[in-house]
Amino acid sequence: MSNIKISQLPVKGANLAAADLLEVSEFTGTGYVSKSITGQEIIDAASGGGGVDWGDITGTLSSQTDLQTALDAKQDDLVSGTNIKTINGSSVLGSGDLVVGGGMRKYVNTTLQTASITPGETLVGSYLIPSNTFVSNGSFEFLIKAGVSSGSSSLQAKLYINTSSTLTGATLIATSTNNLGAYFNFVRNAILSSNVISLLGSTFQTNIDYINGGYSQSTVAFDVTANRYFLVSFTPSQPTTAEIRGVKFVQYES
Amino acid sequence: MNHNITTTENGFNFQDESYTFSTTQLFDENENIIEVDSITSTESVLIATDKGVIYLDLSCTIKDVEYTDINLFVEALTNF
Repeated sequence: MSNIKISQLPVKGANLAAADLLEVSEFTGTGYVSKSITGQEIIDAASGGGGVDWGDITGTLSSQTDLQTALDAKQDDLVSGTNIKTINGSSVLGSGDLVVGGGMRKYVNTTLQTASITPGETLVGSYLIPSNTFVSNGSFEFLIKAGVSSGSSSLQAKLYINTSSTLTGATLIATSTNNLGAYFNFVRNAILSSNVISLLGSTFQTNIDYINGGYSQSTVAFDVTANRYFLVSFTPSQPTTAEIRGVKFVQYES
Repeated sequence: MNHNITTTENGFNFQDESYTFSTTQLFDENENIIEVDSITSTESVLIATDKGVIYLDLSCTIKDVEYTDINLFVEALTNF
């Protein structure tokens, strides 16, 4: 077989494959020995080599289409009032807390409470107000819809607040009139300031507080950061069946 | 559950709170201010204090004494 030059070998015409073999002269320290090296070994050596340092990449970014597509999918910088809304004219950009006032908070319970009661005061409705249902400042109002469901007794309702579901040790918030009709709305409009409710005198007997004349005010502690019970009692003039059709406590934050 | 009340010169201590008697908040049905206490039944009374009007009943003891008469209960509560 005659010797041929490398330039006379057939062209492979394809990328280096894993099973390809190349000849290599390996230096032993004193001389060279002929060995083979696989295409895979060259591929592994090339991929493990150092890439281009960040900052040294040349060319046009948009030519790297997958990177350009990913960048195009990103949201633009937020510009207050342009691509992010404002709240009452205030920007929401930046760090820190944005206090939003003027909200409404509420506790509503429409569970029917029915009780057979006798003269004397009886706890009929107990409503646990979880801590932080309300905030320490704002207006505060409540509605209790109640009445006698059978019989002809008069009925007086009282609203208390306590740390537990018992009248003992409870603080009186409001007293209704002695109602002779079947059903009545028991309503108060108050101010809650620094965890204290200010409202019409707690023993003043009236269903609603839209009344003429100046009357003493009551102040009742209401720590909104702790669980509190609002308690509704009934006092009938004679044995009867009475009920609470529902209650609502509403606050408009200041 | 019994709660014990201890009396003070012008009020009482109850459940880790001190209360001072007040006469400014109780009204009768004719909108007249009434006395410091308002007995609401044979077992309960409303007491006007600086912290509001407090509901107390005969489940409470006063200086560890149990009462069965609400009038005697009020008398023991208000007479230091």
